Parts: sequence; structure tokens; C-alpha cells
Amino acid sequence: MFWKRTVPAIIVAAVGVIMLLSWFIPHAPFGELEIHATQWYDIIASFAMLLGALNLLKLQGTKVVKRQKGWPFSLAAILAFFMTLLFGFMIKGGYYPNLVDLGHNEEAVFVKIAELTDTDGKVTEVDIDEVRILYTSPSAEGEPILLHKAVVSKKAANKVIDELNALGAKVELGELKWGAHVQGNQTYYRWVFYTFFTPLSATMFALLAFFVASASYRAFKIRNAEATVLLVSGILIMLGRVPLGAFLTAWTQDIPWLSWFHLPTIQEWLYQYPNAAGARAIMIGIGLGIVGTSLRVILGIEKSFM
Amino acid sequence: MAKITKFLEKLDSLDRRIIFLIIGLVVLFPLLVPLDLPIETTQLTEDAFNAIDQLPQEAKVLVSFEYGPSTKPELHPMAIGMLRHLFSKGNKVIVMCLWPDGLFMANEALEQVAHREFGLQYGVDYVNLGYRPGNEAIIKGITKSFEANFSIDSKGISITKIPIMHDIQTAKDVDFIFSLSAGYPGAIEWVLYAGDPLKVPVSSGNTSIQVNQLLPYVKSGQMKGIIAGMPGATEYETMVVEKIKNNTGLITEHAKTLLPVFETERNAKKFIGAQSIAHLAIVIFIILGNISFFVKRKNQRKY
Amino acid sequence: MYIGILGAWIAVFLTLSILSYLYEDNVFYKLAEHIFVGVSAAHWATIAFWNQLQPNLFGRLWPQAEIATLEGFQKFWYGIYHVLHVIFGKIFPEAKVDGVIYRGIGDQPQNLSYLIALLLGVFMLFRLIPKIGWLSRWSLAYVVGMAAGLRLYGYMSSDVVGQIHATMLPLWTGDLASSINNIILIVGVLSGLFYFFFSVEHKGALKVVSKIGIYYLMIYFGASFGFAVMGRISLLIGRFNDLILYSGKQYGFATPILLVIMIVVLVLTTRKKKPEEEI
Repeated sequence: MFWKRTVPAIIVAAVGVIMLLSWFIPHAPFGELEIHATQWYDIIASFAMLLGALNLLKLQGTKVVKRQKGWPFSLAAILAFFMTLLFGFMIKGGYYPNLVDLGHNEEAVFVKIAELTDTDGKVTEVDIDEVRILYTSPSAEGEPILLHKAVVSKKAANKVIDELNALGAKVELGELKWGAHVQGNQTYYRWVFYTFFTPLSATMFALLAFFVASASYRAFKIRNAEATVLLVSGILIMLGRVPLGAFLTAWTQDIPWLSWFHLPTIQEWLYQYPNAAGARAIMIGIGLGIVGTSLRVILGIEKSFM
Repeated sequence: MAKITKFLEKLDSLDRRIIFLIIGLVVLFPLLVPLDLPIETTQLTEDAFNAIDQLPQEAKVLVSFEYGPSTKPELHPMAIGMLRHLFSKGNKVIVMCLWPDGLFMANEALEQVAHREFGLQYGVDYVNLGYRPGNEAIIKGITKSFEANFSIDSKGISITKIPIMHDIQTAKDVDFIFSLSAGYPGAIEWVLYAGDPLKVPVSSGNTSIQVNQLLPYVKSGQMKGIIAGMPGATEYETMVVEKIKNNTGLITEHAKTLLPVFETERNAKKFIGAQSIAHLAIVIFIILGNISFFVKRKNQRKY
Repeated sequence: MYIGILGAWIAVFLTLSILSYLYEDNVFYKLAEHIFVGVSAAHWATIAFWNQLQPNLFGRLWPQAEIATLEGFQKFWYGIYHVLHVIFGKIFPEAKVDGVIYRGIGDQPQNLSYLIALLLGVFMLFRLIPKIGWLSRWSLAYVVGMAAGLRLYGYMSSDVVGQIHATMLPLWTGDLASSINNIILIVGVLSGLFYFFFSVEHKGALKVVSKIGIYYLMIYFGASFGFAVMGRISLLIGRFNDLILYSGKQYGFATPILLVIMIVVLVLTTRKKKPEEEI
């Protein structure tokens, strides 16, 4: 019980008090302690993400091994998981031709680079001019050439290097370091992010647009005065905040006594005053709640996290 | 009349897939045939714009990317508009991310604006410090030391070797903090742990959902304006274009040559037509739903 | 970001699979959902590792050093690093510059107290093993204590005191409109706060105040609803924009082809299900 309940309670109290005091005492040791305490927090938070990944493997793996209902989908989840890890830790891509010197045949080099970096399938004089501006006098460290490819492997980069070196330029192989590859250009990992993660994540949230429309239609009924106020407020914001609201009530601006009925004007007043009052009341209430809960946690009264 | 009443009653039990289809079509068509609606700016966006516009040329601005692909349509146009604004004034920009996906969004925005449009030098004019997990602990951490929390930037370069960071030890050394925020951690945490304690001005661009939560901070002066959702992004884009067109305030010579690009490549303006029509459709759905509800209730009371 | 033709087809397939849920729950949606789960988990772990653990944890335990200058305990300590380099070369790199071998990561000062952070992190992972899972409570306690300490002051200062201070507005400013607005704000905040005060029964005059508070809160919730709709529609616009982009020739008409295939498959599956249900 001591190790399982008392030690965590001591840790919570000690860390909580140190963090609280560090707000008021910037001097040593609190200043230094706070820097490292926040770093430790970040490190533990990172391990929590590793925990999430391992937990997923455990749950989905159990489904596959025991052939539970829907196990092929769990297998798909595991394969997708390992594909992402493969590109995160084993296969990088992210190689690039690094232009160090143009050589004597500059124009031919510019044309070749324009061909390799072109995005719409047609190389025009404008494209070659842009390349000329970008790559004239490469710096001492070289200028990376961004090929029009989703991912650039070592083999692909070397092929381009040979082609440009044959034209008299001096081009070396550059590569993104491990670590920088997770967000660097033309790496396998970045391709996975934009091909898999981005459409899935964005579309999951986009589904809500349909459900919010359906919910508005079915559930948003004027049953009493409060519901009416809520509805009117919602409609005014929805129409008043978009250009259509201004467009529909633009005619009211020409009549002085009607100008207040311009939708954006009504919306702005409602938003800045009555709505702001409600928002502030809720913010103060939530703030007090958080202060109370934090105190309870530090004093060891709240132990639900254990 | 009886037919109309019966139809209105039936509307109450309309298959929701028909509603989904209508919403889909209503959003799709304005994207294929863009509407050109007049843009009116609101007080909150103007306050955010003016707060940034009043910064002197040597000001260093910390921009934090806290959004991902799911909220990119709302926040990315804001990011582009705001970076264009800052770079057109010659300000230096320090980028960091509290969301892992923010790293990718930041790179995209910087590639487009800092690299391709303005041709700026990495490490001198701007830097991307990358992502760190830890939420508000990172913000608290940088109020004491940037180096302890961001020993290397997103390219793996030691922060001590980056020129723009040479005279920035803590968050107090930046002149402005701008958060592009889709949730937690985000603008609220920047106000609580950096803006208020250090008295560094903070502003933010937010998803529409978060805007109402942040309004009290704006009203109390703890935040300098706010760019609210896609309409806010459209307003901000418009203000940047108008500023350069009218040649008001601080503008670099290179920024003036980019005006045609700023006028044509405006995603928020392209999308706001679809947003407007979709809102109108939902309002019509609500009205129809209520009419159907009242008709049904009236008939039920008859019997 | 250019993802190539293969990338475009995969992205469109996954987008349409998720959207197919609007018709009914189907195999495309389930597949896409599970792929999302797998990719997300690995993505977050990978990013956390390369952005935090490798540079800030291992970089503080083993900052880059020239091995020829190492003696005593440091020689042993960096010997452990060398073993890790042999097994996980990409995570624990070694460099050779002008014949000099360097071991380590980055140039932060060494701080062996971070071994405690490493230990707490490993304890967090023990949550997966029932017998020693209780050790993760120590790591959780650290996280919870830290969050509590940070938030207590932050929320008290900015959300409570800051907002109360901002509500202290003059009832008369010299201008009628702004005075009315100030009164609206003050009445709204007070009545809204009072609505949540349950220690006193809301009756008589107090009931009126509470009722006024409810109306203010309804305006706030209505506005929040309006903003929520705005936000959701924006996300949908983004997806449709990408689908339109990938419907072009340069991406092999991915969107229309996959859309037609998916509709045909879903309709056929629904038809096949109906006769079976009728039986």
C-alpha cells in the first residue's frame, strides 16, 4: 500500500507544490528545478504516446490471434501501424541532389533542372527563368534541388546527380538526417502522412458536417422560450458571420433607421455583449472548478487518477 | 391544403441520407462555380490585424502551429495570410508546434510563403523549432529557457547555431505571440502561461468552434483580437491585400511585387462562398423542421 | 504536398471510404477506420520519439563527445552508447570527422538526473503488464501533480481574477450606447454566475435573476452552436476541395472512377442483403 498509494500521493504533492511555488519564486533552486521538471514532464508524455501505440498493438493483436469478430480489420490496423513505423525508423528517403557548382554549361543545367522540377508537365521559358533566378550562384553549402517526385530515394537522387554531372555541373548527394526526416521533404514518412493520415483524419472530422445538419433539422425544435432564444442566436451568428448575410441585408445600409438591422451589425452586437457575458460567466465558473480540483489533487483528497 | 399539410408532416421523418446528399451538393457546387461575395471585416479580425501591423520592423514574432489536417481548411489560410503580413513588414518569425501535425502544417506554410514567395533565408529571417510533446509544460518551459526545451530545431540544427535565436533566451524576449489553434493545447494555454504572466501580447487564429470560448480573453484585453474561423481568414486575407494595394504602413519593396500572387492565391475567399450557401441551407432545414414540427403538433392536438 | 498518382488514388479511396458511412456502415468504412487507428498510433509515437526522446532525453544522457577524450566512468557510459549504436544505429548515431570518432547526440550539457525521467517513462510502459502495472502510478502522479500545479495558478490568475477584473466596468461612460452595453455585460455575468449557485434555493427575486442568467446562457449556447456548424462545414469544404483536385487528368481521374466503383459495390451489397433479410 505504501508503494502503491502513499508514494504516488507524495509525488503529486511534492511536484504540485514545486510547480506552484515556481510561479512566485523565480530564483534558485526553483528556476532551475522548473526547467528540468517541465522537461521530465515532456519526456513522460512522450512515453505515454509510446504506451498508446503498444496498447493498440496489444488490443488489435489479441483480436487477430484469437480470431475474434472483425479480426481482418484488426490485421489491417496492425499492418498500417508497422508500415508507418517502417518509414519512421527503417526506410527514410529524403535524399536530394545538392547543386554545388553550375559548371561551364549553365543553360543546359538550368533546362535540365527545370525539367526535373516542373509540376505541370510543360517546361516553358518562364519555368527556366524561375530556375535561373533560384539556382544562379549556389551557396558554398550548395542548393538542394526539389525534384517533382513524391519521394526521392538514394537511387533516384544518384540518377539525377549523374545526369547533371554529365552536363558539367558539380552536384553532390545530400540527405535529411534521421529525426528531421519525419517532416522533411520527399521522405517516405511524409508521404504516409499526406496519403494516409491527412485524408483519414480530415474526413473523419468532415463527417460531422453532415451530422450537424441532420441534427439541426431533427432536434432543433422551438419547444419553449429558452429554445427559441438559442435558435435565434444560432441563426443570427450563422448568417451574420458569412458574406451572404451582408449581401442579403446590404439594402438596409441605405436607410438610416434600418441600418441597425444589417445582419453583420446585429450579429456583432449579439456576439460582443450578451454572448460575451454568458461566455465570461462560464469561464469564471470553469476556472473556479479547475482551481478547486487542482487543490484537491495536490492535497491528496482526489485520488481517482490512481 | 391538406396535401401540403400531409407533406409537411412527412418531412419530419425525412430519411437523413437525403439531408446528407443535399448538404453535399450545396457545398460542392459553389466550389465548382465560385461565388464572388463582398467581404466585410469585423472588429475582432481588425484588432488582430492592427496589433500585428503596429509591430516595428525589427520585431520578432513567435508563431505556434496547433492544428492538423482535420482543421487545415480553416486555419491554413490564416497561417498563410498572417505569414504574408509579417514577412511583408520585414518581421522575423520563430515557429514552434505544440501539436505533432502542426509540424507538417508549419513546413507547408513556410515553404510556400517564406521560401517560394519571399525567398527568405532560413535561420536568419525565420526558423522552425519543431514540435515538442508536453502541452502547457512546453509553454511554461520556454518562459524560462528556449534552449532547454528546443535544443535543436526541426532540421536537427542546434539552436545555439541559429542566428535568429541568438538574442532570444525566453518567451519574454519575443515581441508578439500568435497561436494558430484548433483546440488543446492552444490559445488558452498561451494566454494563461505566457501572455498574462510575462505581459507579452498574444493573439490567435482559431477554428470557429473555439472562438466563443476565447471571447472573454479578447474582451478583457488579455488577447489582441482574434481571427475567427474561415470568415476571419477571408477577412484577414482581404486586409493584407488592401494594405499592400493602398501602400499603408510598413511594407517591403519585395512584398509590393507579390501583390498579384496574394490577390489570386486566396483559399479562404474561394471557400467562403460554399460556407455561406451551406449555412443558408442549414437555416432552411431548421425552419422546415420547425414548420413540420408545429404542423404535426397541431394535428396531434386536434385528435 | 505532391503525393504522386498512387498517393492520390489511396487518398481518394480512403476519403470516399469514410464518407461511405453516410450511406450505411460498410466494409470500406471499417477498413479505413482501422487503417486510421493503426497509422495514428504509430504516427504519434514516431513524432514524439524523434522530436523529444531522441534529442532531449538521449541527447542529455549522451551529448556528443570525442571518444578519445573520455576517461573513467564516461568511457564506460559511452561504451553503453556504442552498444546501443550497434543495435539501433539510426537512433544512436556515431560520426567520424577527419579521423576523429564522435559518439552522442547534440550539444546539450550532460545531465544524468534525466535517468530518473527515463525510469519514470519506462514505468509508464509497465501499465501493459498487470503484475507491475502499479509502477505506472508513479509516472501518472508526476504528470498529474505537474498539471495541477501549473493550472492552479494559471486559471486563478487569468480565468478568475482576470475576468472579474474585466467585468468591473463603469455603469455610465458618458455615452448611452456604451453604457447600456456595459450594463448588459455586467448583468449577464452576474446572473449567469448566479444560475450555477446551488447553495440557495432559486425562488422569488432570486428565481428572476436565475432566469435572466439562463437566457444569457442560451444566447451563448446558440452562438456556440452557430460557430460549431461553421467549423464543421469548413472541414467538409476542405475535403471536397481535395477530391476536386484529384479528379483531374494528372491524377488519373481518381475521384470519379473510385466514386463510381464504390457506389456500384455499395448498391450491389445492399441489394444482396435485402433478399437475405426478407428470407
